[in-house]
Amino acid sequence: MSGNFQRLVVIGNGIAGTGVIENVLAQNKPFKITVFGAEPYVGYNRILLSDILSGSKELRNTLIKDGEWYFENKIRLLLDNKITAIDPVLKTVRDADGNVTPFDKLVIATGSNPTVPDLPGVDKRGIFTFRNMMDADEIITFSKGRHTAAVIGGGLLGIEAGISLANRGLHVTIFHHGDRLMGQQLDDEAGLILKKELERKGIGVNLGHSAVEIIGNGSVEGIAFSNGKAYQADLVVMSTGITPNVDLAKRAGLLVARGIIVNDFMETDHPDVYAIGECAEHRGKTYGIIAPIRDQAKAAARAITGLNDFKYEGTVPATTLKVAGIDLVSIGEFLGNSPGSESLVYSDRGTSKYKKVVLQGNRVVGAILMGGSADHHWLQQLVKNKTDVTLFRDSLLFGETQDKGSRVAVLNDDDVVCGCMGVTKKTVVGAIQEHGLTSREEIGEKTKACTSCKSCGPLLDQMLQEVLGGDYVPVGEKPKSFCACFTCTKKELVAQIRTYNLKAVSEVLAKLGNGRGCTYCKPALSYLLSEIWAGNQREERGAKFINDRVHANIQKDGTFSVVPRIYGGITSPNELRKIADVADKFRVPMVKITGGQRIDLLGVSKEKLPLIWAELGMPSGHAYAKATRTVKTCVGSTFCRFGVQDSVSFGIEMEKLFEGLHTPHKLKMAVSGCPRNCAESYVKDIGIVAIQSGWEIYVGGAAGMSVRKGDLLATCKTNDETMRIATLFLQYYREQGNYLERTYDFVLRVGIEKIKRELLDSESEKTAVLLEHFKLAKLAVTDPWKSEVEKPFHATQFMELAVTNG
Amino acid sequence: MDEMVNVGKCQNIPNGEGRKCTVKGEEIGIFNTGGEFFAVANRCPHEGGPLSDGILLGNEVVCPIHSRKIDLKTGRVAKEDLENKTFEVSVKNDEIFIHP
Ligand SMILES: Cc1cc2nc3c(=O)[nH]c(=O)nc-3n(C[C@H](O)[C@H](O)[C@H](O)COP(=O)(O)OP(=O)(O)OC[C@H]3O[C@@H](n4cnc5c(N)ncnc54)[C@H](O)[C@@H]3O)c2cc1C
Ligand code: SF4
Ligand code: FES
Repeated sequence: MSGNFQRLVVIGNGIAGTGVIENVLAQNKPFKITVFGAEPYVGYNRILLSDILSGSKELRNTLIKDGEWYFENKIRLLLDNKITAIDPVLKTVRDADGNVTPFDKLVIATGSNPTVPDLPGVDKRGIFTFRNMMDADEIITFSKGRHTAAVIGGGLLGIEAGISLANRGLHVTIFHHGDRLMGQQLDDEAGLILKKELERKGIGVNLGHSAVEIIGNGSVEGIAFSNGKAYQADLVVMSTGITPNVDLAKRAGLLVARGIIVNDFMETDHPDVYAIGECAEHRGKTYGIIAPIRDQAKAAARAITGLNDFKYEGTVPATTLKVAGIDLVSIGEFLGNSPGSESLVYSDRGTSKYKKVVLQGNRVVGAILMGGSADHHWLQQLVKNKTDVTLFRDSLLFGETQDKGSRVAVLNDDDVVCGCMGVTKKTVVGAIQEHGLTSREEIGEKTKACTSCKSCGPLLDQMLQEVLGGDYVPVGEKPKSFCACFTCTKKELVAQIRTYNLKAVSEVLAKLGNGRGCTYCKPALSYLLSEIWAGNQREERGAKFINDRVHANIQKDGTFSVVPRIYGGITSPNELRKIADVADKFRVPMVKITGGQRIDLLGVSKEKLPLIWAELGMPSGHAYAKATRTVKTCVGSTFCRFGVQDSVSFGIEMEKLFEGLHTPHKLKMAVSGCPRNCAESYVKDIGIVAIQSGWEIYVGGAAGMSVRKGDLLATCKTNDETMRIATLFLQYYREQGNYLERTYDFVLRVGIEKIKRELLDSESEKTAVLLEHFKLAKLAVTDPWKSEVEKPFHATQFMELAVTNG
Repeated sequence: MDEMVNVGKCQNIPNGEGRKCTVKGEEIGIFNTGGEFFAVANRCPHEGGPLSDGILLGNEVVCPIHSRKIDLKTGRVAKEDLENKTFEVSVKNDEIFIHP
C-alpha cells in the first residue's frame, strides 16, 4: 500500500490485460494502474489480425480501448516496454529500460508465443509466424510482388492466415501433418467438408504433409516434406501451435506447468500475483481462445479488490472459424468417441452442411455446426447448463428453428449475447431502438458487440428482426424494390408519390418507374394510390385486374360470378326469395353456398352484371376483390347453448364497419361465440373468439394454400375495445402490407411482437393516426354495384361493341 | 379481303383497355394501347380466355385466365409455341375500322 491507494501492475496489453483493468475500474476502488505492453501499439484485438492481413481492416478499427480511455481513467500505459523480471519478494517488476516499478497487486497477462518447429532453414527470409501486428505488417510487405504462399499447419489460425493471403491475391496451399483439418475442433466428416469448401475458394489443401526442411538460398524457395514431396513457395506462414508465455513467471519462481497455475480466483501460488488469459493454467487446462477471458478477468479483478466473490470455474471451449462464406462452429467434446457417448449426425456433403450433437447420458457435451450456425448459442447453453434433453432429444438436430424466434425471447435482459465483448441483450436492444440501427455492423459500432469472433452475428440478426420487424433487411440482401419496374422500395415510392402529388398509375409509372409496368405493379399501384389518396386518386381501370374493373369474379370460361353482401351470413326469407327470382330471371347456371356463408350466382355474362345488380338491390360482397371479404359467424349466445357472447351481432357490426375497404390481399374474418370455434376464427386473417370475459383477437390465420393458426393479438373485455383493435390491425395491414401479401405472411414478416407493440399502446400517437386514416378510407367507400348502376364509370365498360359494315 | 367493319368511336375503348365485338360469329378483341389500336382474335390460344379483359403492358395483353402474354402486333404468345390471329385496324374520323 502506498498512501490510500493500491498499485496494480498489469503485464500484457492484450484482451486479458485490458479486461482485468476494466473490471477493476468498474468497482470504483482507489487503484493506481500501470500497464506494460511489449508491442509498440495500444492493445488491439488479436483475433482481428486476419482482417488486417487480408486488408479489410486497419489497426485503428481493432483497438480494444483507444488512447483516450487510458487517459481518462488515469492508467499509465507503457508501450514497447517489455518486463524482463518479476521480484516476488520485493514486489517489483523491471522493464527493458531497467526501470523498476513496485506493485501491491500484479497481473500476468502475457498470452502465448507461436511454436516454431526447429527445421533446417527455418530462419530464411520469407518465413513468418502469425501472432501479432508486426507479423501481419511484415507478411503484407513481403508478399508484394510474390505469388505462391504456403501455410504450414491446418489449424484454425493456419486456415485464417491462408484465406487472408488468398484475399491478397496470392496462390495459397495449406500443408497439414495430420489427416484432417482443424483436428482440435473437427471430426473426419466435418474436416472433409471444410477441405472441399477451401478448395472451392481456390485454396490448395495437402493433408499428411509434415515439413522437414525449408529450401532456398537466403530467401525461401520451397518446402520439403517427410513423405518425400517438395513444393515451391515464395512465402511461408508457420502456424504450428502456440505455447503459453510463462518465461517471466518461471524465472520468478511461480508454480508453472504448461501455463501459470492459478486457482478459481486466478491467483498464482503468490498471494498478490494473478495470471489470466492464454498464459494461465486453470484446473489443468490452458486455452487458446478468448471466451474464458471475460470470466477470468472478472474473477481476478474481484479478488484483487478484495471482494473474492466470483469464481472462475472453467469454460466449455467453443471455436468459430471467421471465414466469409464458411459458417463453422465447434463446441466442447465434439468427437463423441469417449465411452458412453452418442452422436446425432446430419451430413450433406453436396451442400456442405454438417451438424453433429454429442450426447453423454441425457446431456449435450459437444457439437459441430457447419453451413448454418444459428443454433450455436442455444447448444452452448445446453452444454453449459448441463440441461437434461431427454424430452427434446429427437429435435436437437433441428435446433430451435422449430420454434422460430424464441432464442431472443427466452433471453433475459441481462444475458450476454456477445461473449467476446460482454455485451448484454439490453444494451443491444437499447442501441437498436435509440439509434435506429439496422445491421450487425452498426450495432458493432455503437456497442462493440460482434466486433470480435462474430459468432453472435445470427443472434444479433434475430434481435434486429425482433425490434425492427418488417423494416429488417437480412445481411447481404438489398432492401427489396417495389417491383422489378421500380428501383426504389415501397417506402420510398410512397414518399415520392406524395411529393410529386401523383394521382394515377400511369403517372407513377412514367415518373418513377419504367413507364410500362407489369401485372404485379399496375394493380399494386392502383391499390397504393387508393390507400394514399383515400378516394382522391385518379382511377385508371386499365391498370386493374378485370375483376376490379367490373366488380365480379372472372371464371375460366370468361363469365362472372356475383356474390351479394349478406352481413354475418344472416339472411331472410325475403332476401332469399329475391335472389331466387333473380337467378330464375337471368337463368343463372349455378347457385351455390360459399365457404364464407354467402350465396354465389355463377356463370353470368359481363353484359348482364349491371342488370342483375339493379334487380338484386343488394350491396356488393366484394368476393372478387383484394378487399375485406365476409365475416363468418356462428349463432353464438343467441341460440347456441355453449355461446358466451353474441357473435352474430358482433360479426354483423364488424362486417358493416369494414365493408368495402380494399386491402393488400383478400382478408377473411370470422366471429365465434365460444372457443369451440365453429366459425373457424383461428384460421382467418382476423378471427374473433368469444371467451367468458370478452373476446380474443387472432390475426394471420389461414386455411387455404397455407394452413396456419392465427397469432393471438389481444384479449379484450369490451366489444368497443375489440373492434378498436381489430380496426387498428386492419388499417396497419392496409398501410404496411405488401400488395399480394396475405396477413399470414405479413404477420410472420413483421413479427407479432412488433405488431403488438405498435397497436396495443392505446396512448400512442401511432394508433391515433391509424384510426384517423381508417376513418378517411371509410369515408371514401361507395358501393361499386350501386355506383355502376346509377352512373357507369365508362359507357362501354360492360358492353360488347356494336358492329356496322364500314 | 378489303371489306372493313366499323366498331364505333375511339372513345368507346378507353386508353389501356380492350373491348370485344363479334364479326360474323368470330369474337375479336380491340385494344387501345395509348392512342394506337390493335385487334386480335379475342379467345386466348391457350384455353380460350377473353383477351379483351386482360391487362395491357405496352403492346402486349395479359390473358386474365392464366396470364399468357400475347403480342398484339404479331399475335405471338410469349414463351410458347402458340400464335393468335391478328387483324389490321385503321382509324378514320375518330371511328375504328377493322379488316377481318
Ligand atoms: C490470427 C488470430 C486469430 C484468432 N482468432 C480467434 C478467434 O476467432 N476466436 C478466439 O476465441 N480466439 C482467437 N484467437 C486467439 C485470441 O486472439 C487469444 O486467445 C487472445 O488474444 C489471448 O489474449 P491474451 O490477452 O491472453 O494474450 P495476447 O493477446 O497474446 O496478449 C498478450 C500481450 O502481452 C504482451 N506481452 C507478453 N510478454 C510481455 C512482457 N514480458 N512484457 C510486456 N508485455 C508482454 C504481448 O506482446 C501481447 O501483446 C486468434 C489469434 C490469432 C493470432
Ligand atoms: S363456436 Fe361456440 S357458440 Fe359458436 S356455435 Fe360453436 S359452440 Fe356455439
Ligand atoms: S386461357 Fe389464356 S392463359 Fe389460359
